[in-house]
Amino acid sequence: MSHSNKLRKTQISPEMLQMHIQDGTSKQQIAEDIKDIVLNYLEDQDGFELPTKLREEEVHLDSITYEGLLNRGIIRNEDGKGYALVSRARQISSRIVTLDGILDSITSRMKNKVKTARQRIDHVASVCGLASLPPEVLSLVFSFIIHGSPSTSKPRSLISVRLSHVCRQFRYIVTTNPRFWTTINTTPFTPELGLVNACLERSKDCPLDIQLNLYATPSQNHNIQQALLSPRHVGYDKTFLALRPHTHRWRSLHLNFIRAKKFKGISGFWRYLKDTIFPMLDSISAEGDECEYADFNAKLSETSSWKCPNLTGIILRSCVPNPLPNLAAVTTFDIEVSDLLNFADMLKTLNEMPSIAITNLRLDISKIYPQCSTDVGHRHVLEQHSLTIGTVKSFELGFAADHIADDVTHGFECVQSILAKLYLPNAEDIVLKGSDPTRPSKNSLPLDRLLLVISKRCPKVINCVINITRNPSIYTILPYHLPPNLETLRIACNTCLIIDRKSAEEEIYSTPSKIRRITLGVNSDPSLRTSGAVDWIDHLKERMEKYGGWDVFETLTLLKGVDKGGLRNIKTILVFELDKIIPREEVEEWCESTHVFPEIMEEYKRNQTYDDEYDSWG
Amino acid sequence: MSTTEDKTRKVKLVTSDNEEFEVDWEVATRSVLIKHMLEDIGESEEQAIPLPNVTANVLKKVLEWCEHHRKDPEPAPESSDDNRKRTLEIGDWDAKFIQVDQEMLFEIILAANYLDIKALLDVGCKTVANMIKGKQPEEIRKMFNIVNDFTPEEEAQIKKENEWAEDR
Repeated sequence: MSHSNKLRKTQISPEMLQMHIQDGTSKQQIAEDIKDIVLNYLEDQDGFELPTKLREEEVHLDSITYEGLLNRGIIRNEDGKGYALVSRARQISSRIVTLDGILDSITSRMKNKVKTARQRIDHVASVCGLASLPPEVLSLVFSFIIHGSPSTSKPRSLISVRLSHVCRQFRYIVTTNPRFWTTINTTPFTPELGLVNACLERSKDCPLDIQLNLYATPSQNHNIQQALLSPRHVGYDKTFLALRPHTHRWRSLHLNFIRAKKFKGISGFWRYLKDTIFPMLDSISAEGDECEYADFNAKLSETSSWKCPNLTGIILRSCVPNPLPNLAAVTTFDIEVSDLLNFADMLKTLNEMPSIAITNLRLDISKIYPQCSTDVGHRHVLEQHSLTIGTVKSFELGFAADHIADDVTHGFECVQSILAKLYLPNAEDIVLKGSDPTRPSKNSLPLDRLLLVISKRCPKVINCVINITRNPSIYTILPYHLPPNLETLRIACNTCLIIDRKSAEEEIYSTPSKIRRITLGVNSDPSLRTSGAVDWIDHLKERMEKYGGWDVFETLTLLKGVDKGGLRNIKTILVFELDKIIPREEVEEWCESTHVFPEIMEEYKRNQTYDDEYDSWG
Repeated sequence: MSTTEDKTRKVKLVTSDNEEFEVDWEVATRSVLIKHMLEDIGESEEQAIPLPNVTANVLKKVLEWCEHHRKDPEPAPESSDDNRKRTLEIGDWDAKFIQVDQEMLFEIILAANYLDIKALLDVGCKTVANMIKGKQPEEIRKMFNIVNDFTPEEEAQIKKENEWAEDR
């Protein structure tokens, strides 16, 4: 609320207003006054006139002179207190204040009505809009809700169920489209069998995407030593019984290994599926509790007996079976390792495969706890042959920011030793995703450190995407060592940004001469220091002008990181939205600004100044 | 396959409210409908393409999208069965482009559907999907003033189906 409003509100209280309008005559009078004011305003919008009677009274009072009073005499009020004319002036003032108070009160209520009316436009528009969509378009909307990622519901088919419960039209569209019922995943221990059967029936002959929960039970052997050595029993629940007759239409299979606890699973899963032909299966993924790592690997290796002529994707989380199913046709290999031993196993397994055709490789090492070079895991990695995959075109690396920042002892050493075993000579697209693990971080993240290694292991990178999500108050040091063939670079960080001026001035760093587009996503929270981004672009521009490449540069795109977590969400959800696209010729001008988003910073400063003034005023 | 001649060619489009737009061939042919119509009329440059289902204010917005995406590769024919790669994410520029009022949003969707511009239709449908995602049936009904019109038998079946989703 502004200061002037505050003062205005103190002129007339609601109680005073009520006193003025408590009888019917007063109400009638006020209504007529307001009517006159509005009519006068409509007739002459430039001028502003009070009701005729009030104006006449004002004119009369303004015309009173000293001489006139001397001639006519001074009349006092009936009770003898004060002058009658002054009382008449007070009455005018009182009537105007009353009118002002009422109009003010109406205005503030009208503002709410205006807001509601505006919201109603959008509401009615969305009701009309949805009703105008032909069924095939509504069906497309539904397919995005059901299949689009990220998803809000674990069993995705539950989304289909919910949509089918809205109205008859929705139900008809959802239940008659088999593609809305092809994803079958159930909750561990309490599988939704009714839903599974409905999915199998409603999906007709469509290919199925399945998640199976497999329960690991410890051996019944009473001898602890032997129990530890013997493989664990793996059971399944009734979901598998329902799905078994449909193996011919399994398109993707996700095996979710979990500890059985007290749940008694049914045995025979591997035996039943041994040598089975899966004509449609194109993707196998597996996820396991890292404590059960060795057991799952042993069990998973049985998938190598499966006949999957169309298998193109393998996704593994904390498990690396050896052998794997035939990789000759596998183009997507996605692995998350939680231990250096996992990574050593991955190298061993892949090096032993007779033929590899992987084009998309995703490796997540963010959960690894670093070890020094003398530790077992590290030694296992060193013992393995390096893995060169010439077919990989696209490589995604998930890493823990605190490893690169050396917040954890041997962190960067660990990342280096992993990447040193991997050579992707033809990778053109790389994505580097850095996150904060659960450990608290303190050190700034120097992106150059990682990019120096990446440039050696992936020498032909053309497109690079870097996403950093960690504690926003810790700095990310923007990079200068960019891969030499780089054409497009996208960096999106939720953190404070800074440059290392020493690195910026060093000539040993290569400058990309082919870079055409840079996209920069910056957190718009004005309390974070992100002006380093402006310095970074300025230095890059200078380097490219000096060493070549500026003439091929096209655009700088700025993305504004906006917190969409909302008030009820404690967790920050930063979404990057397009702010502006700056062509090469305007980059220099932009570099003169002191902040990435000057308008946000100005508003922030204005609000701070206002708050300070308000505090001192109050 | 477009030729160099095509790329310099201009196309006239006439909206339902009789406004004429002259745009580059490359921009106009983001619409499969217009592309096919142009193929049908051949070399006749003067002939305007009538678009009786699109008004000028909507076409202006659609053409803004087509202009920005004029160099995009032709969308690959979609596998009707495979939904696994569907994402609700919208590109940076498109996200800003689609920040319009609800009336215009649905008008763009209808126009993209009529003009057969798959990528624009996806942007619009994703926006609506994001509005609905995560909501319970009752919330969706409230959002779009939808009346619960199920028969008692259907209600009974729905109640049964709800047991699948209980406490999830």
